[in-house]
Amino acid sequence: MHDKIRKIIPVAGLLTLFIVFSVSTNGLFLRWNNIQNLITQSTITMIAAVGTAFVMAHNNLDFSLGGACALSCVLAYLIAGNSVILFFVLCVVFGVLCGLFSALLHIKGQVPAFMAGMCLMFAGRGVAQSVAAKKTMLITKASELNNIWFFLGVLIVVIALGFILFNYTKIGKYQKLIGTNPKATELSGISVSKYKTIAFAISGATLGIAACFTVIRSPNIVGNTGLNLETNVLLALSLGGMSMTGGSTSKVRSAVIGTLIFFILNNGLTLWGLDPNYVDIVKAVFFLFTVAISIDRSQYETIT
Amino acid sequence: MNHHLKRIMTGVLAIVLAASFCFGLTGCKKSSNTDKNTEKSKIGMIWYGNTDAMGGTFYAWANHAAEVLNVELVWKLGSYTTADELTDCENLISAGCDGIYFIPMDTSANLQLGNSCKDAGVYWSTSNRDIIDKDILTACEANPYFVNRIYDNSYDVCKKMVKVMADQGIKQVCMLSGDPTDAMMVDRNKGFTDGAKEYGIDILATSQIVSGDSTANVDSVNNFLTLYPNMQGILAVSGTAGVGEAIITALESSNRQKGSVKVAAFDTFDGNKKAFEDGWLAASCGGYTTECLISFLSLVNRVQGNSISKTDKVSVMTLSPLLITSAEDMDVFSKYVDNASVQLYSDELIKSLVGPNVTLADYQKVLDDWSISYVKTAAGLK
Repeated sequence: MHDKIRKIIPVAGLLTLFIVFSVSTNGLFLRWNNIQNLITQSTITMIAAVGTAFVMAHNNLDFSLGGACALSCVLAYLIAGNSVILFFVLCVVFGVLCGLFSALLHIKGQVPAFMAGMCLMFAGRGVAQSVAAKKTMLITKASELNNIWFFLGVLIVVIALGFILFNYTKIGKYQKLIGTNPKATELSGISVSKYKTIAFAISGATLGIAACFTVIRSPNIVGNTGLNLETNVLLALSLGGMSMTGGSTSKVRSAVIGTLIFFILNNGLTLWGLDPNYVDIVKAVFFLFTVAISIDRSQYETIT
Repeated sequence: MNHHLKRIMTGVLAIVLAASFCFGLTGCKKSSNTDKNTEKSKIGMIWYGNTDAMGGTFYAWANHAAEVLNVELVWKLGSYTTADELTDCENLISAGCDGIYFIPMDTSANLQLGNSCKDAGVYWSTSNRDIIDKDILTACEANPYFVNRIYDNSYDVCKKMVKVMADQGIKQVCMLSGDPTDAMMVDRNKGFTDGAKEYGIDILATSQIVSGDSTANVDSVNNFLTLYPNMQGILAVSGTAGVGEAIITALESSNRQKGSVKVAAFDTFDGNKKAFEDGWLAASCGGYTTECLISFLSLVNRVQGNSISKTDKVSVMTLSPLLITSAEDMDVFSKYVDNASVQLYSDELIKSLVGPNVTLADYQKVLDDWSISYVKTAAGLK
């Protein structure tokens, strides 16, 4: 019973926010232009979070997202220039390569994944800063795609593919197995390295797509492109009820629910006109409350 | 039992979901133009923060001006990227703001936030940044909701700082330059280099400032001192984020006599006054809060139905930051400029800058009057 209640807390939290802001903002929250804003604002984090869920499911954390986003954008621009379609394709390609690089460091190099990710984060941002200091990278044509239907269409496709891969294919199921018990998984004849690599590649692909949307929203590629993306994604997954240690309870829907909670709270507090000095405090309290109730503590219990 | 419990919980969830949509529908309201015709104008303020000198001062000045003018402000603090500023802008528009004020974190912010405001029929204005990309400038100037663009006249001030060095007999300098993709730094770089040419000063070497890395900046100055023993001065396009302190630290740690190397640094920093007293610092400059205030007031003016532009096109104004050349002036600056507890503009002046008879010249006059002398008068020191 307690376990079931814990599992519905993220959804309950989302519904609570929805109701509270719907009622208390005199209808501002439910206006179509506000709903559009929520969709476009949450797209980047949600897409990246769907891919990151695969990595978290097998008990790893990926801190490379922001730096890899900047790096992918810079490398794609250096090759494609202002050609938007080629730029987008290359963003995804370089995103996958960044994911595979993290996998290589972690699996072959035996480096903890979070450390591999942080290395890529610093390296990516450093490269982006250096290039941006010498060259203006501006793709104004990309901003023409800043359109709700394009965002919604891609978002639905990514979430649907992520859901299918995670729940109905070996790729997703084995991530959960590896997260629960990697040794037992290996002994069962499943290649842990192979499926971890696939997870990092998927994370990289969604990161590449998120990078494309980052440039659509902010066409000037600079050193802080994709800033805080890894923090937002990890926070969103936590708010959505995703276990930090992965395993069988991992769900792709955590990416959707958690991201919506994050952006609805930000949006709602602005509609309220809350004193800006208290906004971060309110967010912190809400996040702590949600995560504290929904966290799975059974992993910390001692067997007596 | 589990199956039964599951059914109950599914039912509860369905009822909660249905109730939430019903509540939502009862609160639903069509957007209409009459919503905007409320007595009190609402301005969205996208600002980087209120904990540093300039940030805190503008936060205080704008809040005070809003009280005087009976305007509601909605602040969004802490955005340092265009994506974050765009999110803030969209949320502020949803919150019913009639105008949006911001400092564009990069050139594309003008385009993205400008388009968002245009789509919503909301006025917007900016300060502290010029628009260096021609396509973006053309697009923004065609935006009918773009009210005002004010930026620092860094170029002229940098040339004046070089003249101060030249007047003290400096002939050979090294330069700490800025990011060439930043509009603000482009002006400062050019101001220093053109000033050096005009006043007969040789720039022996240039090194780009590493923002946020004091050690790297100390190393740059040490390299200058080692490689160019005949160097008499250092030009620095920025003194914030530890750069100014790093320069003075490097000089004090060297074996040079105090004041044997003169520094002209844009922006103020901790220890400025002592650096002047010790003879290291020849010229400093700062004080941009006035341009933020004027941009904000012009936005309020437009939102309330008044236009200063005869052609309804965007107005462009410039501010020359305060040039500081002595410890005494630095003391005045520290105490009265960029000090959140000091209001340098009276309520009468603020009220006089919003109304049907206000012109572009009125705003530019306030910007042109900005000087250490004005500060002393406003603070009651003269």
